[in-house]
Amino acid sequence: MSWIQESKLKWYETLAVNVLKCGSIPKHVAFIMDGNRRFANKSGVKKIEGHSKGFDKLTEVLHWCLLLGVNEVTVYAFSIENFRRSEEEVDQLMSLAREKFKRLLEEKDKLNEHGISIRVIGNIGLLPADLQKLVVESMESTKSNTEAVLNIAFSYTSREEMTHAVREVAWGVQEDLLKIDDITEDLIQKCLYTRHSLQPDLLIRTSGEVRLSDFLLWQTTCCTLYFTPVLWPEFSIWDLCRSILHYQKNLPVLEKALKNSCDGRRQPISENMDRIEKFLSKMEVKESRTRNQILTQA
Amino acid sequence: MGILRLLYVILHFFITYIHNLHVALSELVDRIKPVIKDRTYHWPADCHVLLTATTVKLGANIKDESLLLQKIGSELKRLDKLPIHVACLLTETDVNIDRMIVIIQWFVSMGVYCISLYDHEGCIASCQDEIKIKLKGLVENLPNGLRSKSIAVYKGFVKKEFFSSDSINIFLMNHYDGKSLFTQVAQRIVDELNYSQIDQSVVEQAINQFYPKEPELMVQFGSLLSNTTLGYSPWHLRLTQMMRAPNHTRLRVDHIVSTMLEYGSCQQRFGK
Repeated sequence: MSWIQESKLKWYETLAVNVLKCGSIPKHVAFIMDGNRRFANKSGVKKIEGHSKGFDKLTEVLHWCLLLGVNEVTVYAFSIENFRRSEEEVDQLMSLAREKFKRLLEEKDKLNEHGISIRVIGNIGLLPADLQKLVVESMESTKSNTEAVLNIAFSYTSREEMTHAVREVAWGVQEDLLKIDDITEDLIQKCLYTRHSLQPDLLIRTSGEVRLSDFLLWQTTCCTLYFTPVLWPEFSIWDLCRSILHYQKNLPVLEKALKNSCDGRRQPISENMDRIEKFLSKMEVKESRTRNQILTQA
Repeated sequence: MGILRLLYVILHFFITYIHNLHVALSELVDRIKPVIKDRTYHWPADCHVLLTATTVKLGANIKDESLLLQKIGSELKRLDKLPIHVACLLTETDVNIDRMIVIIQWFVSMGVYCISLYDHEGCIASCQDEIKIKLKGLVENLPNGLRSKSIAVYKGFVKKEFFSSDSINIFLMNHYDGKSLFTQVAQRIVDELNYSQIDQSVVEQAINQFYPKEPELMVQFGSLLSNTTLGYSPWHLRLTQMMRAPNHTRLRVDHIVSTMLEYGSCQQRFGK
């Protein structure tokens, strides 16, 4: 199935979307796409078929999000913990990923036309080399798009992300680009994989589990978390509308409970700012070099 | 186009209003009769019967309540489903300390000896002295075996050397105990180690020098429609089950029982 869905909504679905748009729409929604294997079990098909249906559902949901005016979506596709699954299942998932990223590259013109930028967040160094190359190519070919962003958390855990941020900061201190006192919550945030994104406003987890499972822990401190018992491949536009209605209802109460600025960001002192800016741009250069290495490897 | 837009706005108002009514009605129903949530609990049959039989008696007799909570706690422990640390997230602006003491008592009766009370603003943390005094009174209401336990009340995270796992430990936290703990730990790690030496186990070890550790269960009190973490230390919420309960001022013991049963029936797959 294509990454870009262009199916039209039924009239009553369009009505629901337009009604919801009268309230505030979250700018960034995160999804934990849970329940593919339970769906496969329920339908009597193989697990990999469940995951494939899960991908199809993802493309549908992205289409609905665009219609609703949600500009950024982050999805939890594969956790580092999932490497602990059976070798057979992991290989099947990697093959599915290869197939989908290859398809993405084939459709890059369509993605560019819609202005969609793809970012893969996570420790991609843990993936097979050929998949790493596909991932980096997908990111490079869509990086100049600004209309909408899809962040795919692949080989990701939040704790690994936070550790990576600490390592980057340590590199900065070692290279004399930073001082220890420059290390603040704000700086750590700027070293996370998600540094180019806004924090999510709404996180939806399907299949009835009520935990975050090491997903965007740092980024969801002021977020509305919506847990629904529906399995991911069965997630409908009505489930999405219901979650957005919950977000709209929750927002004023949440803002009241938080009162002050959510992350309590303390602005860095101006003399540090130059140093921090220099460190951040050197970090980007380092990352860019790593990506080029992946692209040019055989 | 103007008329259509007006129609959408009216419809939006309407669905919001209906949703409000639905929420208010559920709260009203909940106030009238105790309800143990309808969910397939993987419980031994006799425990379930005990619960159904005693539901109507809840709130009537402290001794009955205490026995019920002990029974539930021991069943959960037997099934390896008793949380070691429960985090209570308060979303209300007015905190009723007496009510919080009763809630702590319920958890302790079940066998949970590590409880953190978190609110974003820090109202709870500012009442540390009042809480300490009132908790002394709690000991008399505890089941026999627990009366010899000491109660320790801490503000924020505390280092390992100042923590005793034999006491009943209550932690009072606010948003300054969230991301800032991680930042402090990061500063220390960066000061002591080379960047190539830093991996997840190093960070885990550094954070584990502080108590409390990860909560297995987080109960969010109050009227928020959806779950939220309100800035609770992000590193610690990796696998935490997040559940909601009514406003702490009108919380009943059956709400806590219901929450603990739901927790007991959750399955963790740890990625597998």
